[in-house]
Amino acid sequence: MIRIEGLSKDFGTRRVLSDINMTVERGEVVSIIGLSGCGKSTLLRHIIGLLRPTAGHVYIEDEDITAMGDAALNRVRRRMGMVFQYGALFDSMTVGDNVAFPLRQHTSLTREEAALKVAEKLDMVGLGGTEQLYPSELSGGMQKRVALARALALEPEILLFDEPTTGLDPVTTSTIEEKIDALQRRLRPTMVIVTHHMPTVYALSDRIVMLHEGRVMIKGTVDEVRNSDDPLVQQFLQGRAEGPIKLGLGG
Amino acid sequence: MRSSAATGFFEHVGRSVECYLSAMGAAFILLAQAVYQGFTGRLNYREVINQMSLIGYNSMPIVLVTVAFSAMVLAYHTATQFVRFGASSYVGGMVAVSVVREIAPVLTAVVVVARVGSSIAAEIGSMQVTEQIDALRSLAVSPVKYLVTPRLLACLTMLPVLTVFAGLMGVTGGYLVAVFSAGVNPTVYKSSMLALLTVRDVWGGLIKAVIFGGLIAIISCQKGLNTRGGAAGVGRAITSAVVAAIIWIYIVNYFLSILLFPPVQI
Repeated sequence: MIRIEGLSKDFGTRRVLSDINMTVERGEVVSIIGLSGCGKSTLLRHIIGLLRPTAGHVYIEDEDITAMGDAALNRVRRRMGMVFQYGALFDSMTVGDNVAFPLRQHTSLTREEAALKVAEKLDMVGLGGTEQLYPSELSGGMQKRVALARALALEPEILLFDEPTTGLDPVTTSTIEEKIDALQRRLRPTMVIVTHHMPTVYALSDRIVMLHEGRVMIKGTVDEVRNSDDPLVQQFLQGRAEGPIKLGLGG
Repeated sequence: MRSSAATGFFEHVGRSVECYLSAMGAAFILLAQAVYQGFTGRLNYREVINQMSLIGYNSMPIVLVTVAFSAMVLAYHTATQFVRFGASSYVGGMVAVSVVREIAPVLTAVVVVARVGSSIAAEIGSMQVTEQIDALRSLAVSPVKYLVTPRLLACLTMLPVLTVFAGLMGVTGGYLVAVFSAGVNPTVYKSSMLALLTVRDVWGGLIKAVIFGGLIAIISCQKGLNTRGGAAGVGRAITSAVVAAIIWIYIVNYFLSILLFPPVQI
């Protein structure tokens, strides 16, 4: 479903991603983990074509999106949905208009049909009846759930999550994990989740890809990664300050 | 020591020129994309009308006040000086031609830059730093088609409309001041105006307004789309959009004036 081959990305003279190779099968949930700044979100942005790689290719169903023009890329993007780290809701629109936005842009649904679809998607994320509120009137967790409802509006085959639970309290985190899990069971979309929140990874993933300094450090099933004897992987999974990973925090 | 300072200076100048030329190139590319997107697929007409209302109807009071009072000052000085030299029969024509060719289109554009250009840069800039532009792209919606094309269309159509009303207001204000304050004969003023003001002047003013509208929309949208660095970045984008648009309006106005109003051969 998603195949990444030899992907590298430079920002100016700084190499952020280096020779990334990975695949995500249809219906699979893959989490991309790693330290802050290791290139996880940059990799996710390549999958939906928001960034073009310096080298390498991204294939969606065997179509190389790195070689596509905007029109062809938009055709592929209609089969994908992305939930941004801070929601990225349109702050000048109500919750209902945010969720209805992709429907208005890409379907010929009537106003009533779109309203029904919006209500259904908001119910799925547990926010039924919030159509008339503005994003600024919602908590961070609710904004992420609205963003999920918006990403689901066109019923995509592929869902991408950028830090879906970062910065949220434990209860809201569990709620969002439950919603994503229920969604996966019900619709079976292919999911790529970028996070460094390990409980989320263990709760949702089929496989894990760990990045370190822009390279794939390890990839495998949850058990394979958990049982890895690589000290760097273990330090990250256990969240220890001591180990081969040295953060340049000064002092 | 002196040679390294000189090298540094030339490097700085070279980089600035390169930066400016690259921004100009990016603006032309954005213009081409916005025009192309206007002719392909379904356009967001609701947004076009919304922007026309914001740019046209909502800017009308401040544009009218600015142009009317500027024209009144011009009429006052022109009339008092011309009357001293016994040339009051030229006041009406002089004021009307100046208002229609220059004051109405240029001041309308400057007011619209301050009021609308800054708000376009702020709106698109804050969408950029909060990932809303990326959200549009991830939803398979072109930010150029959704944000830039409607603003470009609205500016292209509303600047001439505002300029027409501003011109009428300016000419009327100039007439009132020249007649009631400087003592110019109203019949002489009107006949001078009708003798000197031509259809070419009116068309020239409107052509300027259309071009200024395009400049304002493209520069403001481009600065907004290139915003980086949070709230401070949005502030920089607004300042940069207003400064760049005003500079370009004055430079382009000079060349348009030469091109549209060549000297009359006697």
